[in-house]
Amino acid sequence: MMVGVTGGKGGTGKTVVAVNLAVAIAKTGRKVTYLDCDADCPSAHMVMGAKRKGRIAVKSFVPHFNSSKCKRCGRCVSVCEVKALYQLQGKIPTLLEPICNGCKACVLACPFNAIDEGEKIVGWTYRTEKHGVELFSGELRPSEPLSEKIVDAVKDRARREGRGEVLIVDTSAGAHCQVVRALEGCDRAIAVTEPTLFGLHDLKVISEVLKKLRIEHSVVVNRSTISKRKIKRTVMQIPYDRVMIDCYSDGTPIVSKFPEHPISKEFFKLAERVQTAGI
Amino acid sequence: MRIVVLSGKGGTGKSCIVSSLAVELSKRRKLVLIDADADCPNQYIIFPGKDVKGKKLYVSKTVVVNYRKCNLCRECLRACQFGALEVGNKIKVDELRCEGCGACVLVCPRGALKLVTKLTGGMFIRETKKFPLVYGKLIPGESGSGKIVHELRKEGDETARQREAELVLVDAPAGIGCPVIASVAGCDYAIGVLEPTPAGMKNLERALEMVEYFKIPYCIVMNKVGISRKNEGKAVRKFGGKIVARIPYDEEVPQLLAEGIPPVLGKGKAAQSFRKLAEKVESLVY
Repeated sequence: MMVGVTGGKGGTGKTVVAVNLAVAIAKTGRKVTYLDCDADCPSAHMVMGAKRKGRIAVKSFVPHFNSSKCKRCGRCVSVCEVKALYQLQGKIPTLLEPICNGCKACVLACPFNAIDEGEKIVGWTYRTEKHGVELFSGELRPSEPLSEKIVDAVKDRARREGRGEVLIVDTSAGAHCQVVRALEGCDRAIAVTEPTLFGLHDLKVISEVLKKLRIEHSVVVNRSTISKRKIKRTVMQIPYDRVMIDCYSDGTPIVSKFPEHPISKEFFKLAERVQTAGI
Repeated sequence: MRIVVLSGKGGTGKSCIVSSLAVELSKRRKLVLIDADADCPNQYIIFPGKDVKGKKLYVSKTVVVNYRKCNLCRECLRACQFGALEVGNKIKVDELRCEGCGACVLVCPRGALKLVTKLTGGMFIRETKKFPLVYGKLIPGESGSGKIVHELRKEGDETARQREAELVLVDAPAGIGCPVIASVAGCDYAIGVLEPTPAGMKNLERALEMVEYFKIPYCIVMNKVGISRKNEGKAVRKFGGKIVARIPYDEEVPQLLAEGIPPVLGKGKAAQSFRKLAEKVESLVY
């Protein structure tokens, strides 16, 4: 079973919920694999207090121009949809490397076979284990825009190396392609929100994404005590509590540090729900 | 002058700081506010007003198949680097994966594929009390949020030119990827919002690495000061003199935001710090 944890708005507590849920499920004896698919800002390892190991680079194609074969015709420049290539008159095209998305249209368009396969590193994947949870994590290289490529790499690696019966997928904030990529294939999703106008607005946006993907979702309301708003599909409420901030700052999940705390008990209930009722 | 506010990590208080800066700075200067978070735009919730201009944005592309011409040779499948094409009894395009690069079109021997533009989202200009707000809405789940931001930035610059506004304030989305790069590129100054938590520090550092790549000068504002003494100390050691202002953690802020009110309009100690921050920013960039 694969469960996505998302929410739209940033900083609502997606990672904190996902980590505590994963650890709570692991405590019931099941094997849990955690996929940190927030490639822009990976933080699950920090919330777990784990050191990431096993770094593997994620590479993407970039064109290398063969100066003896290139006839400076400019075909490659004209087919590049992302405008990663430009050409001064009569010169070999120049690549704006960070913009290139590795589509290889330039290679296909070149009539003289003058473009060789180059590569660039767009980020990395890692793996580690903590609190009985196996963690796979991705990290985009700053100044690279290909977040979704890292998401794919994390999912591929977890598929190859992971042993979990329950997979928890932590997505980035927002509702664009990399969030979609992370949620693809999930059986269920949990949307984490906060009872502010922003939180609710962004929850609506992410619900639309989930509807498109045909993934049913439940809602976890974080900092529920800052407003009296009622939110549909709520399965768990986390009151505003200093202890959550302390656990977050220390890098220990509350279910490990204070398993008897009322909030931890709620997480154990959520873990139970995920495994029996499918949330 | 174009100033962008970013933080890497989400929920650190970017929109909160931007809305407060906009309210304060607009008292003394003409400005245009751009909400570059087209996935989850929030500024238009804080700033009511009339949308004076709306425009559909067709900025991303995808591929359509002419099934009468296609003979299922699968050349396109081999060319696609994004796994966006599937074949059963016919070729199917997975629009959520398609980057609109046109590689498949180039290899199709029968000319059965065509690159077409598609609706990516919308762009709006809103007349608020004090300044125009440019914001966008991505169709949920679509790719192309970077391209929408690019359009928002162009529109923001144009609006600023027409109204002779000297300042363009850009509220970047969370993350450091494509839409954030589009928010940052071409700005004159960046403000990094630091949340004193391990993830807040690490991800601001990553965001600033990207800002440095574009050679843009920046300063840092520490938000929610008081939530972790230990991490605040670490942050000071890590970012040192780049930290120009501290906003104390104040219960009033989430309560005001819960109702869609810019926190600078509050009565507490955070509101006071927002007013000081506006002065500080002016002294740094002018």
